[in-house]
Amino acid sequence: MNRSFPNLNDVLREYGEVKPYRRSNRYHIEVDPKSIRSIVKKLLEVYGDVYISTITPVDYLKDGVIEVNYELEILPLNVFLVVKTKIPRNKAEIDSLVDILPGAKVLEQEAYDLMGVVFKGNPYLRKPFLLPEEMANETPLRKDWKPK
Amino acid sequence: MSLPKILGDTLKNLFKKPITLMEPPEKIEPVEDYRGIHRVDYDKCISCSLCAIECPALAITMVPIQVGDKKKRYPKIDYGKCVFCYRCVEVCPVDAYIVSNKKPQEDTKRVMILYSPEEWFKKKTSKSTSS
Amino acid sequence: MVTANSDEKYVVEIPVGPQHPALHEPISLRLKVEGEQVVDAHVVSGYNHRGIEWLAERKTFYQDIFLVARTCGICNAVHGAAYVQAVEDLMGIEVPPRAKYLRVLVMELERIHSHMLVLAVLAEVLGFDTLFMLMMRDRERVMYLKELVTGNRVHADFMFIGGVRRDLPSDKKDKILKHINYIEERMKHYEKIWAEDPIILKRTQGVGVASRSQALLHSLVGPVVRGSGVRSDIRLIDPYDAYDEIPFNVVTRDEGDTWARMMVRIGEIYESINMVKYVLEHLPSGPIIPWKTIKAAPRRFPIGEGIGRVEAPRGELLYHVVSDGKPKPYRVKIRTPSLLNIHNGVFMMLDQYIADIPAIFASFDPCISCMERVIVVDNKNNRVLRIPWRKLADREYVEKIFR
Repeated sequence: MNRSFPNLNDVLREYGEVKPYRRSNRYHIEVDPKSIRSIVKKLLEVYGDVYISTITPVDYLKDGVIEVNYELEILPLNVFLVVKTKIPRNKAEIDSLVDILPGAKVLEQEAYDLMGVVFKGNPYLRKPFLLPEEMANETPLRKDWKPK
Repeated sequence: MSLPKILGDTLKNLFKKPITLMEPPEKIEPVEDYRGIHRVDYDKCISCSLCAIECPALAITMVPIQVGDKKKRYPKIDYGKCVFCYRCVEVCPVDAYIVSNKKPQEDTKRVMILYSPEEWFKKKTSKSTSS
Repeated sequence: MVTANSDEKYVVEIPVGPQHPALHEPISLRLKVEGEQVVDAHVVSGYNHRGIEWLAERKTFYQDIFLVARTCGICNAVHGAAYVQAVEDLMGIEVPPRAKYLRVLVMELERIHSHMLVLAVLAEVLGFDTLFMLMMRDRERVMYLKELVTGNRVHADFMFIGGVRRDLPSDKKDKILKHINYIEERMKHYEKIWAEDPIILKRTQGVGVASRSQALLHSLVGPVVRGSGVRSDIRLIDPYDAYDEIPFNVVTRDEGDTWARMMVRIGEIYESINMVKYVLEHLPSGPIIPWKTIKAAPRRFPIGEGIGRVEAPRGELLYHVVSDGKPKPYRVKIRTPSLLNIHNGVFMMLDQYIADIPAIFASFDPCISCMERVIVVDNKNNRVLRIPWRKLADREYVEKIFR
């Protein structure tokens, strides 16, 4: 625990600016969707004890984008980092983290099932995962979905 | 090694009466400020329908009632839907809700779990005519 | 479909679940077994999906406090606390100190009864029904305390945006202290049984081991990851409410097996008891909400987002609330600890015996049952035979298909 770790800002400088949230130990960073794998790889390399809290996809119907929030906890720094990426609604695809961080498996499955975000490279994606069988082609958390 | 320990527990409990109560006929008394059945004092109610808007379980509906020569809307509570969160009691601007610690009664009849203003006003009119 | 060694001719798939009368979560496990050993396990979920996230987008911020508490019956107060924390983060509200302490009181009472429940249930899974009955009897006292403080023994509905919904009169303190002391004394007794009983030790030690790095990589949370020696506790790493003022220890163990997870829970019960006592002693005076009355709570919500993180009895609980300035939230994301623990913790079941699977699964917190049929997978011809149990009892028939 006494090892000194490099500053989060220095580590992630090439991807974007790390901005603080209202609370002192929470930060967020907006990045390009293509770099999400390299960011997580780098965090795992530098800090080691990193776990993924959740993946929160938010559908912005007006802008035509889905914002995918990767919420990571970096234990050595006691820092909660939200990595924000924006992907187009009609082609919701992003790289999967499941081979470098196996904990992301169920979160990607859930996001795929409820929001229709395709995680390229995740072999476990299946539909229906949480939904009933007759809703296999539907993504209920998208804003244009209506109950039948 | 620990067998005698748990054996002692078992033996002690062998001569006690069971902790589990059969309800009914036995009754578990709730604490004094238990969130139980709540009623509306329709005399106080000003028909603002704030409770119906705020109810998270949509258990309160506003029903029109003819009072004297005026027609007003009063809340009707469906205890089958109610989750007893007391949000209606909290938001009421005139504190028209009467709270109690009575547990909601289990019943097979649908009528028992509704509380509607009709009966209140019927009772009132019959009282006033008899006296 | 089959991932077992291909030189093995037959792998039997056993569906476990999805109905069990003892626990709250209907979930199904598909185990592929070779003899007695599990070679592949996979979780089928969705039997209890109620669409709360979708519903939360269609109710107002205030209605959602009571909706999200219904996500889980056992840890309802922490769900409320995480949601209101997210909304307070969004609105920038400062919670008065008395409300912070009262929140801690209710959440710690909840942790005590939740941990006692899982300790009892695991004892029952192991066949130790006496311990189950005794622990459930004593747990009822904690439920009574919750009723005393919040007004209902299960659904607290105690949290409110900005504070709490009811105050704690000083005459209730003695009652709480009396019962809490009794629980502490009983827990010492149960701890001895858990630490010394030869049957419990044999069934739980060395079963379902997760090493430190495995537990972290699979993003496990709560007592499961603390049982593997990781000091990951939201109360410590991201203090909320009054946890930065109340002294407590994070209980960890290095073994990483089922027994270690249960001992972590027993240790946490003691910590919670101490915290309840501390809160009762040091309860600050003052208001419980930042406004004059609860009716004066603001009706306008700013555009933005808020995150609420709470250490639920089962691990980290996270709420992400996005608002677009309307009275209803734009998006409410709920991530419950069991989602990670159940689905990602399946790796611990590999190479274990079938009889140990209930113990491992119950040590994450949910439970399972057995269905009436098995499926035999023919690896060579790639066909699936469905055979009722009764046929399996027929030795001639079984020998015929396994030949």
